[in-house]
Amino acid sequence: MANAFYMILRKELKDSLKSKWLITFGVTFFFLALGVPYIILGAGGLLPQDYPGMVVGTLITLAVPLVPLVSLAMSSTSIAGERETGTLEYLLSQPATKFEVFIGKYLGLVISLTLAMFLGYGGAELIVYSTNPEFILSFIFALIYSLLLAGAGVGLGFVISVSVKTRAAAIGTALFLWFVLVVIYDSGFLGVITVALNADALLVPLTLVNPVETTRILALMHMADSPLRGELGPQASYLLQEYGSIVASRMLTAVLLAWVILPAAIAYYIFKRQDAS
Amino acid sequence: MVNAQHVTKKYDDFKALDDLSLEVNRGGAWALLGPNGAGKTTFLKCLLGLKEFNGSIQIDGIDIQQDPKKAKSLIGYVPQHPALYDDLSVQEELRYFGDMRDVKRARVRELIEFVGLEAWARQPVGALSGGMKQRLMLAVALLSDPPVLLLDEPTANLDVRRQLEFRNLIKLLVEEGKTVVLTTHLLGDVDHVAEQIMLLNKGKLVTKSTVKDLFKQLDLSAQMYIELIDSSKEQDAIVALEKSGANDISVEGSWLEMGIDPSRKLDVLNNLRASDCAIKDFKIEEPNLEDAFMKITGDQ
Repeated sequence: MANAFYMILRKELKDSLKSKWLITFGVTFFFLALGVPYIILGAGGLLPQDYPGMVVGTLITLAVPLVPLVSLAMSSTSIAGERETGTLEYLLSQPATKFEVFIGKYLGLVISLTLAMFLGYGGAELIVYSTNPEFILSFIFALIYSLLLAGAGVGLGFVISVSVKTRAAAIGTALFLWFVLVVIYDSGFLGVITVALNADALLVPLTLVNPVETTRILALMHMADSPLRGELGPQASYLLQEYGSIVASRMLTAVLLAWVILPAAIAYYIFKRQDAS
Repeated sequence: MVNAQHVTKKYDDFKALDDLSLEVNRGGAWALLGPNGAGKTTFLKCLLGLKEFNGSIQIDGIDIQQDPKKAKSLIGYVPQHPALYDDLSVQEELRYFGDMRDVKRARVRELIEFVGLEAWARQPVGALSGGMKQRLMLAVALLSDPPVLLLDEPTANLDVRRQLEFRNLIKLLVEEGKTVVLTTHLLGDVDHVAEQIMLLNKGKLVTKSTVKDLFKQLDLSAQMYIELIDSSKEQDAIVALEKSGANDISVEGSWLEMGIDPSRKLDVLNNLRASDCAIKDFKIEEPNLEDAFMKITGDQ
């Protein structure tokens, strides 16, 4: 009966890979990573040598909001959708434990998002960095942190998915959460609070409670030698000034890992304690 | 085969199951009856470990809360409403659930034939009718040939013809030695399929007996209405009806109205013909199980 986990994982993976969300995500990532200017400049034979260094920062700025949008949207409906149609109850009436159902669905989504990002990022990476491998490390870090952010997004999406009863409620809550994490935070929220309270120290906790901000700063901090270093913003500057780059980087990585693990653990705790229907 | 002891399921202050204890022996069909809200479906879901509860439930000696995977491997379940993946084909659906139970491909083909869905094997489940989906769910439930089948209102959403087909399938399975526990609101399910009855009310077991004994206790009778071609034969007809076991016979206009044991309807018609009382028209109202529940639970 060890097959239950494998079967659920395989089905989730197949369903996710067929999902329009994921296909759109993969294609968008490919073009984001490649950069439209690359195609135009490359076609005209005008591509500068340091093009990869120029594009990687832009890529992070554009990709970081996109990753949680897709991971939250897909994961929030994973369990809620099946609960609504009754298939979750039926699945749990089979010889499968709640853990197998949960982890099969969770890993299925994480793997499919990873595949989409590898294909999107990776395909573009092969093309762009074949011209100049100097900035490839920044690119790899950006990919790794984006994957961790996707894991955090899936975990948060699962918390929503086990907490609501319908697919519509799940997607609505997920989009609202994305709006808070990405749009509200990005529209001067941090600046307003810290200036209003005159407390720079608040920048750190306010950054850490948002996995999107944590990822963005972490990825940009790895571009120490990049001309885009200046885009770090007040939070990263404060972190670097207070803790130095090594401690700050480790602190942010640990927080991001916690964002991957804790929401998933909380979602499973809720799922395990609730009735299937 | 199924042993439930002191099972209590609460939703806030409401007790859906109230210290319920019952045993179901191996083999045969058991009908779980009761009015709406009696706790029938909740109990089935507790048997499957789909709901958290206090107390203990064992399936063939395996505790559903301690070893849910092993206990569930002994159960096949057919829910009231089809809950299948509509985008998968019939064959893929059976393979998906079959692989979870380590079932060979040959068994999948065998079951598609058993439930009569050969022509639909490659069609998406979403394209099937309600009756076909119900048969497919029965096939999924039978994949690993489990000794226990739990059926929640299995014929409630089927037309009369499909109900009869489904009942025949269940009877075949009972003859093969399966233990079938079904909830139902339909007297036909009880009459044609079940041998034993467990009556629940307000989450408690009210009575457990054979179908025959319970029907006797409930005094279930059908209402029969007969119109004669020649109304002057009315008295002869009443005598013939009394011989056939009809009771509370009354005359309403051109119609004779009576109560009759549901199994003796044909006797009534045959006796009238033998007494030379030609029938112009007749109607039958089958006994209503809900009214019977009210009668027995109201008594208590």
